[in-house]
Amino acid sequence: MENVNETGNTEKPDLKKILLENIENLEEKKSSMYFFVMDTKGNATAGMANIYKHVKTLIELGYNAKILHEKTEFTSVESWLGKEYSELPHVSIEEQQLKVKADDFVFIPEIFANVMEQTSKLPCKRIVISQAYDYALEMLMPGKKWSDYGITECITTTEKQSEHLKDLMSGNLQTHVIPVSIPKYFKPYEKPKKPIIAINTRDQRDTVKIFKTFYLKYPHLKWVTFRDMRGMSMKNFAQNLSECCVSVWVDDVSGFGTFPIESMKCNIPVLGKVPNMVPEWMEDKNGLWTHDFNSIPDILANYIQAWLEDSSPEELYEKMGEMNNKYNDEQQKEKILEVYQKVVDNRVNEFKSQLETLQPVNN
Amino acid sequence: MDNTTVILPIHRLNEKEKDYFANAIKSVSIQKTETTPKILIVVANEELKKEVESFEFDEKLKFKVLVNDGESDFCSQINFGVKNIDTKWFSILEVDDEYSAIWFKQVEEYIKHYKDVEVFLPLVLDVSPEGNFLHFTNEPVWAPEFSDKMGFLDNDSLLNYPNFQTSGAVYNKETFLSVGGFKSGIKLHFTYEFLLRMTYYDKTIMTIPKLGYKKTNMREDSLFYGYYNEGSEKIRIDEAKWWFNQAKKECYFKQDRGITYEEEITQ
Repeated sequence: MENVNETGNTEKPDLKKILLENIENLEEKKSSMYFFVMDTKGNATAGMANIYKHVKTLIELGYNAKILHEKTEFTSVESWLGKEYSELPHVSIEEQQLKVKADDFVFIPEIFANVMEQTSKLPCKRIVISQAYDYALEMLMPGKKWSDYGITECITTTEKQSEHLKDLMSGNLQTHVIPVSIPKYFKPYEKPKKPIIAINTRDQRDTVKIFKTFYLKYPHLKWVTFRDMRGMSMKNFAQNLSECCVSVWVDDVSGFGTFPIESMKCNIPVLGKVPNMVPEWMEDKNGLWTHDFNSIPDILANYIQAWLEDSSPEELYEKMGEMNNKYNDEQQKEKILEVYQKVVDNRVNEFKSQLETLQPVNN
Repeated sequence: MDNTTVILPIHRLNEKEKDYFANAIKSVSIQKTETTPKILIVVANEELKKEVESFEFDEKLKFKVLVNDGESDFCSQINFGVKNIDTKWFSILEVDDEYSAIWFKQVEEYIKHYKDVEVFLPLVLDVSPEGNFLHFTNEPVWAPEFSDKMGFLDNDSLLNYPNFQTSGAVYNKETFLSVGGFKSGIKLHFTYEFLLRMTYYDKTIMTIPKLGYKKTNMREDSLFYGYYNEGSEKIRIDEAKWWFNQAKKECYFKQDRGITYEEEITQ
């Protein structure tokens, strides 16, 4: 690489100076951290909410974090995440002024293998954020792995996903785990719970199948309402969830299981189909777990009957209570600081190694 | 539940009804509350009073037996009972029915959280005389869009769907009296008329979504069985309809206007 100076003479760039500047930027938290997100068009997703949470926390910790989106036009998250998140710094790839430097970072969700490929020539450090392991292969070309695009670090939400991704991507993938945190406004309803079933399924057809079967098989319970939890703002979601007497969760490819934890924080028992990757928090007795999708309406009817008789199993509530001290903002904040500082330190070390190669060797 | 009295009206006690009666009283004694509600048994005559007093009740129950010298129909017995209680709340227990053990614990909880509610209806488990499940009653208020506010009964929804059960419910005594109590002049659908009147006068009625009361339906020797089946007491369909329509008209009046059925002449 050569630069042209004011007099028109070409000169070698001062690599040492550049490397020292990069190190300084990183150490002084001046480097940009871009978090690539898709435009969900105002639809709430737990994964997107978690990325915004990372950005907000990093800014609070003094880092220069920003949301990065593709098009200039981007649907604000204000309607479902609130102003405190929609007002975080946003930049778009389309904007001319976006320049990425070697000491910057771009964090890319696992699904966007195409972005990993397109950005492989950028000088910055690129890191995958993987919250839904099942999407990791979605856009990846057959036979390709992330390291083929120069990506060797990944942040994920559970140890199990971490192991899975290491196994899948092989080679030298370095993983960091930052568990999801559940906001404090997921808390028990202040009044007695209502005969409403909160339902959250990855495939909406599963929601329809469950409630139609339930009403067909148990017509005497047709007055019990199912509340589909899609399309609500986060706080509204939490409020609506907290009123319910039970929640139903079906998500075979869940990587973490945010919805059941949110339910438990609201002191609501969860009836869930065990996902392909069993969540780390899942225990025999902290929910009503089944491997059989077709049994959900029956288990639900039994639970509702017990709830109407005020004879829900106490052990279930005790076990759920153990979740109160887990997955909170404070713990996540600590982990965010630890992991992102490690990511920065790794990058500093990379520059320092390069710096060492420039030093004259004394014999 | 010191602030609640259970009113149990009795106008006769045959052998079968004695068993029912013992069961009904037991359902008060097994409540999962720190203290059990008081019990007021309203009887039709002195003989019945002696008979009732001869029963051996659970020692912890605080009960008294009063004779109503006036009319001995259900509405009159209840109105008489309400005037003779000293608690803020009361509930009606029919002799062949029973509370679930959790009912008054639930009521305590709901009174704490829903301070504006003046009547708490239970989710009623309707059973056959053999004890088989028939259906629930009072539950529709929790169905989506049944009423303006989920869980609460309002006048409009009641006009469209009349099937609500008042026995087992817990009433605020003052509210009950302020709207005029039950109307003994209304032979059929008097509880419907009462609920219409309550909602017309903006009283707040809520169903607690917990199984609070088990009701035995259509016991062969019950008054209502006689109304609906062949025999001297049977009420014709057009008379039943007349009372139903009359309930909708009478609910605007707090006082019992003493209406009587006038058979319409049809050709």
